[in-house]
Amino acid sequence: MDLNFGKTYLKNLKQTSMETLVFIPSFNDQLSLDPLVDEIISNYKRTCVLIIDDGSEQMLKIKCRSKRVIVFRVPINVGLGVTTSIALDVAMKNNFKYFFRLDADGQHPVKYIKTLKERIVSSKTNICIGVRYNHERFNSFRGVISAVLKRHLRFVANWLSSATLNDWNTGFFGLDRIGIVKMSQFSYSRYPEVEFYLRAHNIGLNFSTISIYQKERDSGKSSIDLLQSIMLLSRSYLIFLRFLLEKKS
Amino acid sequence: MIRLLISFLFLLLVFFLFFRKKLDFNLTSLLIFFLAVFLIVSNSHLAIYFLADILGIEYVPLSIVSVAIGLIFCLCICFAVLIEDTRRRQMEILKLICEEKITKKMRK
Repeated sequence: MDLNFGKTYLKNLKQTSMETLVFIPSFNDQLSLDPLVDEIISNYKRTCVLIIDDGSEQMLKIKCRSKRVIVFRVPINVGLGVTTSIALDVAMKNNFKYFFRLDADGQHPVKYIKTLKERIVSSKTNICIGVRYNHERFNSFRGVISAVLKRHLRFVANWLSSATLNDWNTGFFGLDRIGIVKMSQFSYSRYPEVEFYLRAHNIGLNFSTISIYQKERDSGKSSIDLLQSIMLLSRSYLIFLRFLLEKKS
Repeated sequence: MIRLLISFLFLLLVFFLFFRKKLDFNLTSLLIFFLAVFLIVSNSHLAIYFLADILGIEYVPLSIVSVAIGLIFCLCICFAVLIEDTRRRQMEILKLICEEKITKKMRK
């Protein structure tokens, strides 16, 4: 018998006053974070913003003093996968109904959070992905290589999973409560997007997508260089292999 | 004689580390197994000839090198598994601590 039933009930009641958790993973993104956080806090009620500083060189400082903004610093760089897992677990344990992830560099416009949420509710899906229609750039060698790799990954991932997702590398997505509970059961690796969506597809979550316009970076640069993109490709192939094995078993 | 002595010295070192609790049981048994294999291969002519025959090596003494390379590969894989396992456990603990702290901040 739970002797603390009353306390637990009151605690849960208090927690449910916030229904949405917006998770912003950050690594050396100090400059772009303040306007992003201000925009979310002023436009979205009953929404909590969780910023996880993944061991940035300088400690993040957020000007916004709202209690709805939580900044947490992980002392070492553990990667996006672990921070996403932490945020999902927090969302699950604190009974959030919706979970959204967006990048800290200001590339994902805040207005799309509402669109994602509406799409999840209207289509009754568990996960909604913000597909960037302008993310491929052919104005530099790096851009061309990146686009070719992404298209290749997209083709293989769609072929394996029989999904029709146009952007497997977007970091902008939303989950409903079922999605939060199911996806929080897994651990993710350093660049988790492909793994995350394949996993969601594998465990039978309902998908929906919205088209989003990706803005230019407010500051900083991508942490993925040529060597890391090769590592990313090889890692993706291992993930595909694991996906096939899991599917068979 | 020296061949035997070297293997036994290594064996003693492994036992010493095990009893001083510097090595765990799994790793100790693995190292003892590898030392035993090396002891047999390096001291028995028959075993070397047999190995060379199986592996198709014409210059027989080379078979002992192939055994050594094989053992090193096995050790590397075992160490990789151990390191990954330790890393995974550390991450799980870190995740738990972070979740607890974030939840505390939220409930303030």
